[in-house]
Amino acid sequence: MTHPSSLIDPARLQSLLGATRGRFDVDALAECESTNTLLLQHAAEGAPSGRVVITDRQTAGRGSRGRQWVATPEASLTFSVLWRFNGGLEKLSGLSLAVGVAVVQALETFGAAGVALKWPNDILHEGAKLGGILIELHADEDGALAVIGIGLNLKRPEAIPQHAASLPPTALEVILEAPPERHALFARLLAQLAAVFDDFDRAGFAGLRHEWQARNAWQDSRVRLLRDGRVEMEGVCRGADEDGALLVETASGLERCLSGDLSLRPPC
Amino acid sequence: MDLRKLKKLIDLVEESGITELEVTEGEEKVRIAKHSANAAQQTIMMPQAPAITLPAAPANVGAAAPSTTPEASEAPKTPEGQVVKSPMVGTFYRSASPGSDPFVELGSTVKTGDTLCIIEAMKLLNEIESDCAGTIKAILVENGQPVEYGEPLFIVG
Repeated sequence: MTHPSSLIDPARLQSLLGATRGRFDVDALAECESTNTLLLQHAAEGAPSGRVVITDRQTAGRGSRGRQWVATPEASLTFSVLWRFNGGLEKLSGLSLAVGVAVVQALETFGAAGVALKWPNDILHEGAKLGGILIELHADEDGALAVIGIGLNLKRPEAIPQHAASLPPTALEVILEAPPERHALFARLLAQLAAVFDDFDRAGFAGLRHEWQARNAWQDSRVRLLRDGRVEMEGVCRGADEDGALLVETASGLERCLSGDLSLRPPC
Repeated sequence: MDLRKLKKLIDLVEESGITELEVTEGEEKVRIAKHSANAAQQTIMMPQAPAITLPAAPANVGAAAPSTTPEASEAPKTPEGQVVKSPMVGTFYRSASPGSDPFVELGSTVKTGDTLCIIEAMKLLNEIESDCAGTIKAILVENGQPVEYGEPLFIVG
């Protein structure tokens, strides 16, 4: 038995969705293991585009490659969106970057300045992590679908679990003097996601590339690429290619990187 | 098998994207293998006959003087079964996270829908499922290696 969320009222949310009302079907739960896992199950049962799960608390939230995503109910916004795209999985290259663009654009409408994107899936402010994106893809007889998990920090956590390799966290309350109300923020994020998904379906990442580069945390700056903590590549970040691949100008020429296991960092 | 038919098969391999074709008719077996896209050579092997090497180039390009020395079979026999291919460009992972057990090992029994591996690109994770039931006959890519679109990953038989 799942209990409804105490933080999100779906009826109130619907009234805030405006023109995108009807494109989203939101399920707000008090607790679930992982919104991504739950939506992948819904997808396997044939759930349509626009199914959304938001939860106050994830008990087994996942970050990239098995890293845990920890969130306390009041301090964050944690949700996943199921979206079905035209064409095959190969058309979804760069989707993690496109989703990042949508999230930052939504925050900008509330006046958030200086929010930047770190290739391929992190949302930063002044070098600290504001949020993350984890996308899981699946192909079925109807084509390609993506389950897009988004986690945003609203309040600074009291205790910060610090790992040497990870970025320090930040929160929306640090960036905005008057952060938006939870429903208003969530509705704006969904509306912006719908707009970006429509663009992405039309032209792929190529059509959103300049929007991404304008928000690239280290556009034309020197960067290092780490794998398991070791420097694998150094050069100048030249943004993203038309398929979302990271472009780094090194001593031996322009290199393309696709692997999300590489961690991008500014120089020491 | 007559020469006209052989020629037709060679043309078929040449025009298509496939690198190897094996045809069995009664007791006769023919395998045509394209060794590389540029220096394309097709080796035909038949039982009770020396292997012959034919130029892959169109018939009017005769000046290249292709080797006619008989060649031994180079291509190792690949297990028969369903080939699971990568649906996207990315990195091949055999487990859900570093340090956890691989989804499958050589010889594992799988059902339709069982996860075989993950392909990752730019933090897009794609769990590849088996579309048939059977045994893992071959794992064709090493953990952590980049894969191309359409690259064979597993043979399930």
